[in-house]
Amino acid sequence: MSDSGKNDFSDAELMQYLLGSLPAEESERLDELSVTDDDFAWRLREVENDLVDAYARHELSGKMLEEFRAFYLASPRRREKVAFAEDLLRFQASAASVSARAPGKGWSTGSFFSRIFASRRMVLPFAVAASAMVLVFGYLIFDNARLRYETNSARAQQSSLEQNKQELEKELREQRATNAEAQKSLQPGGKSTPDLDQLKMMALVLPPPARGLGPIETVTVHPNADLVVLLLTLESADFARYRVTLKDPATNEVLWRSSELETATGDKPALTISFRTSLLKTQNYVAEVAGLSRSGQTQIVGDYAFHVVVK
Amino acid sequence: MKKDWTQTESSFQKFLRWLDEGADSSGEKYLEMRRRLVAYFDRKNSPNADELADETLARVAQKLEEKGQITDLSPAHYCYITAKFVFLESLREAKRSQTGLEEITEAGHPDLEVASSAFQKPLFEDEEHRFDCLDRCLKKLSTKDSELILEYYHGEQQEKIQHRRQLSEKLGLSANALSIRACRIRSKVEICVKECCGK
Repeated sequence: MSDSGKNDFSDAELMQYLLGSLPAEESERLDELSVTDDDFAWRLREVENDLVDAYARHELSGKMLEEFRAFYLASPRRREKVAFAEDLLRFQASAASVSARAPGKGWSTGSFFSRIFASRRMVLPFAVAASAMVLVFGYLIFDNARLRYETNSARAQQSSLEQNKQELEKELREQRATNAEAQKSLQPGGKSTPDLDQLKMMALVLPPPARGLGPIETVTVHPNADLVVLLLTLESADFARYRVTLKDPATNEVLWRSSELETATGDKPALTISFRTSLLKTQNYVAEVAGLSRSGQTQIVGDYAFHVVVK
Repeated sequence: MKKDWTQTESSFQKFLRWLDEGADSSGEKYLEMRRRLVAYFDRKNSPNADELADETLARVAQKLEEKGQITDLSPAHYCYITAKFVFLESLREAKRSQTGLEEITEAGHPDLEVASSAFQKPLFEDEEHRFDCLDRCLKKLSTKDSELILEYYHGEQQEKIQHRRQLSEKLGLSANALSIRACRIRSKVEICVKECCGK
């Protein structure tokens, strides 16, 4: 089957499709691909499995969680998938604990409880092990509470980023509307001239650089797009002004440099930069953020790595 | 199209060959197309996705029987276009039923009523039985496959990505090939669990 549809959509768009929140036209295109394109059909299944697993693991939050509950769970067939994911998760957790007790054996799909109690000789060691496990569980409960707190904080931060992004998109829409109005007023005859409303932008929100290795964000840039807008979120606003430099990490060549910037207001400090897409090709980039102190000194705050796919 | 058409063994075999496009898949192409159609109707929130998928396949088979051959579109495209018609017809049918239902219920959209009442029902009565079914279905797999599915879907976010990368290196498979293999095994287990639970 054709390869055309396979990579035209990001995982995020496929999730929107599965959650019924994609515009009708795109949705119809995906409907077609889901039946006619082998590669796409498998990819969609993979994304759906991951989405359902994420729900089962309580990893979804905000709008996505709402849409999942409102749309995805409306179908009995899809609820069956969720039940399966929950069982699989439970099974993995149980199998992992059995495997931990029998190191080197890897995953076991046997009926682990029946095996444990199969022999009477196992009862006493099991009782001793159970006592030890009470202590371990005590620690795990404490650690779990700490992790939950951290996860909730991360979710709150993510939600705040999402809000920032939405506000930015709203501002852009309003700006476009104003531009379109201004154009209309300049054109009494209504003749066609280049329309600012047609300015195509790609937006990407980049979280503060993580310590250690992690996946880098990918932005898919259409060759006909005009601008890329990046929202760089900061851990804290320690400087009055900032400067951002776009670099090619392979050669360290400076491709673009911002003017002096102030952080955007919001729950989380962030810097907004935009540059022409013609600067970019398919490869990795780094947006180096430097803080400018009042005395004029410059200090590197962080490197925001991201991957660009032009297609 | 004749409404009272009945599929014969020979017309069904002909339909399978047409779906296979020259390669003998032993009915796998048919089952895969049916799965895709069921998922398509289900994403449209059709309450009877299985029936609509079967109706679609039956209509395509009938058309093939009547025309002798269908060459202007690939089997998958032809099935999709037929499915769209079947879906639109089901909407019209639902609208007709809705008019009748609205006379007896004042509250909201009947489809939503149906969905919301279905949502209240427990999925499977016995959670432990379902879990036991999963255990049994995983045991039916080869050790290699059961290990693969448990490892592939293990972990959260970053850990999961790392895990899959290691797994594809270990098995000498591309990420895409590994994901398809894992999806196939998972579908197989899901079907097995449904059958075990008597669905």
